[in-house]
Amino acid sequence: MRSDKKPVQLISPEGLRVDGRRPDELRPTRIEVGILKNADGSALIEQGKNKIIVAVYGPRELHPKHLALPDRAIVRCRYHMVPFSVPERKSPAPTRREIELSKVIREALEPAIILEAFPRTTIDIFIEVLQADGGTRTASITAASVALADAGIPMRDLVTAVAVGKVNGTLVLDLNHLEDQYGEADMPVAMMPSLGQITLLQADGILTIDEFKKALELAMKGIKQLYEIQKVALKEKYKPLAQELKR
Amino acid sequence: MSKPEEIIPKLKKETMLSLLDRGERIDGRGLTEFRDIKIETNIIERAEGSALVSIGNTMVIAGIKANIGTPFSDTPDEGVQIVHAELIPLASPVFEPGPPGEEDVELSRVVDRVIRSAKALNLKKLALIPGRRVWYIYIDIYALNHDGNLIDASALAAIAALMTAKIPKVQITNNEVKILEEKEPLPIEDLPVTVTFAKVSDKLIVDPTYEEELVMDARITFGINGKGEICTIQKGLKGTFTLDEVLYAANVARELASKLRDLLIKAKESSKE
Amino acid sequence: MPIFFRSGSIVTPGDIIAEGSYKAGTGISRSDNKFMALYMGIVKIDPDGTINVIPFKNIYIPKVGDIVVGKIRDVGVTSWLVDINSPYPGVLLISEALSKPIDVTKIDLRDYLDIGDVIVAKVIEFDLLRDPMLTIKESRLGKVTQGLLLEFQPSLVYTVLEKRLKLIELIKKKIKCDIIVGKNGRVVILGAQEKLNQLIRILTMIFQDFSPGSTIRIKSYIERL
Repeated sequence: MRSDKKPVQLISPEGLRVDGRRPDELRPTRIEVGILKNADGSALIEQGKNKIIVAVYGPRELHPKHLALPDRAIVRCRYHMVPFSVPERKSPAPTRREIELSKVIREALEPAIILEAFPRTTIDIFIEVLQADGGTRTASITAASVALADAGIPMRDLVTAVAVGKVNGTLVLDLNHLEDQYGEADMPVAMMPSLGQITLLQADGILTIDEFKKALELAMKGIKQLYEIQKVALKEKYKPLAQELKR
Repeated sequence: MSKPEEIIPKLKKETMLSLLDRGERIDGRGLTEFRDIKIETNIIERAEGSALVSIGNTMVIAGIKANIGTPFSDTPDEGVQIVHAELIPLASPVFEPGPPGEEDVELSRVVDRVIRSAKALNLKKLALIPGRRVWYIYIDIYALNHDGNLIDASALAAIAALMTAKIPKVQITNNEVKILEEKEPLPIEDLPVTVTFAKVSDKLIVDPTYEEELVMDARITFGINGKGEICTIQKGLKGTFTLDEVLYAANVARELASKLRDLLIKAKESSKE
Repeated sequence: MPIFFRSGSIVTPGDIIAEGSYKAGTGISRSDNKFMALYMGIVKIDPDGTINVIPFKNIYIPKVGDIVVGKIRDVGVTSWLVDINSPYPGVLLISEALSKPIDVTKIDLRDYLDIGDVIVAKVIEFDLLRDPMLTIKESRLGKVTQGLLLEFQPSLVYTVLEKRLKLIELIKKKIKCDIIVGKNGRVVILGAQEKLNQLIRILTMIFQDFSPGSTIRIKSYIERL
C-alpha cells in the first residue's frame, strides 16, 4: 500500500501524458447538482479519478452570536479528505494541509458571494474528498461554487478553478496526482470567468516569467471549458422545471 | 458530533402519534417496513473496497483500506480490524464540526461489534507471519445525509464494502512479506445485518426517519448473523423496554434480516458484472 | 441594445443578460451597462425594460406584512423566539401575543406558548440589523392547536408559479379542511383526518414537484379526492 511509483515517462516522445492526454487537455469532468437532501445546496464533482462532494448550509444563524458581523454574512469552509481517499489510509483528524486548503478555498469563493445580503448570518461550506487524484483544491472550488448557486445564494459570478503545472519542461493543464507529485511546478488558479477576476493563485516549484505567462493562459483555457460544464450542470437540473413553467 | 436536536413541532408529533395508533406512519409505511434500500459497491476504485448505501434519504459511504503492520500483543496470530464512523456536518444541520463525539464513537463500536461477533471477517486468516506481520483492515464510515437510522445504513455499508473488497496477494519468503500485483477478496465468512427499532409511545417501529427519531423514547438495534443468531444488541436513549417488547423486536429483526441479506447478495452479484 | 437572454430563459450567476440602457430589477447586478444575473433562476423582463431574475431557490427573508407559520423555539421572560424557516428568527413580545396587560412576575410564558407550539403570525417590523418582530394579535392569527405542519423550501410557488397556489383553493373546495400557507414555505392543514396521507402527497407535489406534466397530475389527484 505504498504511494504510486514514479512512472518511467511523464511525457511520452509523442507528447502524451501518463493518462494519454495532450498537454492542454482537461480530464473528463462531470458535475451532479443537488445530490444531498439536507443541505441547502450541494454538488458532486468527478474529475478524472477525483470524487468530491460539497454541501452548503446557509445563510443561517450563527452560534455563538458574537462571531457574527453586523453588516454581512461570514463564510466558513471545511475541506476534509476521508481516510480511504488516498493510497495510504489517512488519519481522520484534520492535517495542516487540510487547514490551509480550507482557508484558501474559502478565500477563493468569498469574493463571488454577495455577503451584504445576509448580515449576521453564516454560510457554511463542507467539502469531503471521497477519492483524490491531484487537483483536489481546484475541483473543490469548482464544485463548491455550483453548490452555492444551488443553495440560491446570490453571487457575482461562478468561481471556476484548475491547476496548471510543468512536467519534463512542458506546461500541462489539470495535473493528476502523479504529475503533481513528480512534476517541476504546480500552480492552482481560480477565477470569476465573466468578470475576469482571479480569486486564488498559488504555486510551488519553479517557473520563469515567460512560463508563468503561458501557464496563466493555459489555465484560462481550462477555466473557460470548466465554466461551461458548471453552467450546463446547473441548467440541466432545472430544465424540466423551466419546461413546466412554460405551460 | 451532534448538538441538541431540532424541535419537532407539537402538531407534527401529535399527528404522528395519532397515525401510529392506527398502525400507520407519516410516509405510509407499515410499522415493520424498511424504506427503499440502495447498495452500490466499488465506487471508490482506489480504495480496497467501498460501498454507498441509501435507506430512504439517509446516505452513508464506507471505505476499506488495508495495511500491513505488527499485531497487537494479546492477539499475535490475528489481523487487526479498525472501525471508525463519523457524523460529519455535511450530512445534517445538527452535526457540528469537531472531533468525534459520543454518538460517533457509539456508532463505530456497534458496527465493529456486529462484524466481530459474527466473525464476518476472519481475522486469523489475516495473519501473515504470526507475531510479526498481519493485515490491518480499516473500515471508515461517513454519513452523507442524515434522515434517521444511521446505524443500519452504516452497518450495511460496512458489510457491503467488506464483501466486495480486494486486497493484494502476498508471498512470504524468509520471514519477509512481499506484496504482489494480483488481488484477492477478504476472508468474509458471514454477512451480519442490523435492524433498528424506535419506541414511540409504546409502539415499536422499524427504520425510523429523522423526524421519528425526534419523538422516540428509546431505540434498540439487533445484529443478526447468517444463521439467524443474535450477534449484537444495543439499546439507546433514556426510555425503557419491557421483556415482551424486546423478544418481539428480536423476532422481527430475524425475519427482516434475511431480506436485508438478500439485498447484499444481489449487490454482490451485480458488482461482478 | 442587445438582450442575450429573453424572458423565460434559465440563467446562472455571472450570465450577462443584456447590455444597454435598461433598468436593474431584482436578482440583477449592474456594472456599467452590463446587467448580470445574481442567481440561478429565470429571466423576467418587464415591459418598461426592467430586467429581473427570479431565483429557483428562495431564501426566505421576512417582509413587513408577511403571514408566516412559525415554531416556538425558545421561551424567555418577556418574549418568545420563533423559528420562521429563515436565517433570521422571529421575536414575539408578550404585548403582541396577549390582549390584556399581565404581570410578568406572576406568570410563566410557557403556559401560553411552549417550545414546539405552532403559530400563524404576521411580520410587523424588520430591518436587517435586528431580528424580525411578529404579532399574533390580529384575527386569523394565533396558536394552532390541531392539525399538521408541512415544511417546504420557500420556492417558485410564491413567485413564478403563483397559479399553483390557486390549486390549494381547489382542494379546500373539494374536501372540508383549512389550509394555511405561510410565505415562509410552511403549510398547516386543519381537519381532513381521513384523507391526510393523500393531502400530504398533493401538497408536497404542489411545492416540490416541477417535473414535466406535474401540474396536470396534481389536478387529477385533486379531482380524485
